[in-house]
Amino acid sequence: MQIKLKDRDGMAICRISGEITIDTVLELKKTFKNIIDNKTRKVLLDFRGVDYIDSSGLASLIDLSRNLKVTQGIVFMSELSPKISSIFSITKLDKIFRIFDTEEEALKNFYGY
Amino acid sequence: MATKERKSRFFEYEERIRKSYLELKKAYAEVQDSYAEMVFRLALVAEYKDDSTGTHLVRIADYSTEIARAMNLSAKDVNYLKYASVMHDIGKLVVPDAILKKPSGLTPEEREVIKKHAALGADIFKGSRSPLLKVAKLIALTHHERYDGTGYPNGLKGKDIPLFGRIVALADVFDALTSERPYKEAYGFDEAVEMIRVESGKHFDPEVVKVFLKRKNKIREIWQATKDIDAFVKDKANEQRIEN
Repeated sequence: MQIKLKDRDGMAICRISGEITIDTVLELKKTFKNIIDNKTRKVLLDFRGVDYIDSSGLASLIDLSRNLKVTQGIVFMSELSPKISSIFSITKLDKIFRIFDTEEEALKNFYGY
Repeated sequence: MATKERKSRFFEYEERIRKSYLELKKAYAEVQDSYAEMVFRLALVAEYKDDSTGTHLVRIADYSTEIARAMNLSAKDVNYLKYASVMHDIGKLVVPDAILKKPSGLTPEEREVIKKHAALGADIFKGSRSPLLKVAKLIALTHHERYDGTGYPNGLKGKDIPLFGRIVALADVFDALTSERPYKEAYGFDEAVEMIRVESGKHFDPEVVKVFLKRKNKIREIWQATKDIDAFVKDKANEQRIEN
């Protein structure tokens, strides 16, 4: 798994690629911890290159969402492949997370927050 | 033809081949991705019928792949298992709702109808040439067989039960034990692990049980992660209900 993190107007844009699984999730959790520690309130997770996500990966997204809620922050997600999208559907997380087709669309919506 | 020209043509062809290869690779990845997507969505249809929580499928896939990796199965086989395991109960699509959703007190006849879901699931994949669907067929057919030969539908014994079936059998039972049902509370993690342990050589393959116990910490992580997902989804659903 690879993570590229960049800051854009105070928003954290996190581009993830590879497999988010029980064996790789620790690195993602560390990135999320840094984001929270830096008091970033708007986070965009770009799933363009993600091949697979397992239960541990999904739980890490929930942790991020919960931690951001404390600081009144928010997480958006974009560019989910059909496979990743179906994993979100079977766990019903598609109805909870704010998911956008493209990164651009997600960023546009960020300005309302 | 001048050597220089020949060289330039060679590089031109090489570049074309490289581009075609990359395009093919991308197309192949897209086909694989759609294939996996359909597997998950098809399995989801069976879940709707069964009123299970959404994370049931994820847990089965995660427990099964964790065990398979620890048993040193090839990356290809682990991958087949990851997707094929989510379709283990696909045969329930053909079982009448009146029986499937009956909370308790099934008659022996009704129990027999439910048992048919294994063979019915295998029928759905019959004749497929896809290696993944062949694994799905094996799993659907054999995930209720028991190591001591007292399972169904064919009463297979020991290593006559395909390894994929032996792995999913344990994953499925462990998940059932740790899940709440209309007629029972969920067992705690350690209690459920112990129940699996005592069934070594009876319900389950001792080798699969051994690996499962060895990977107990990872199994606990998966169990905890899906509990978190379920709690989060439930909380959010309640919040939305209050807002509306």
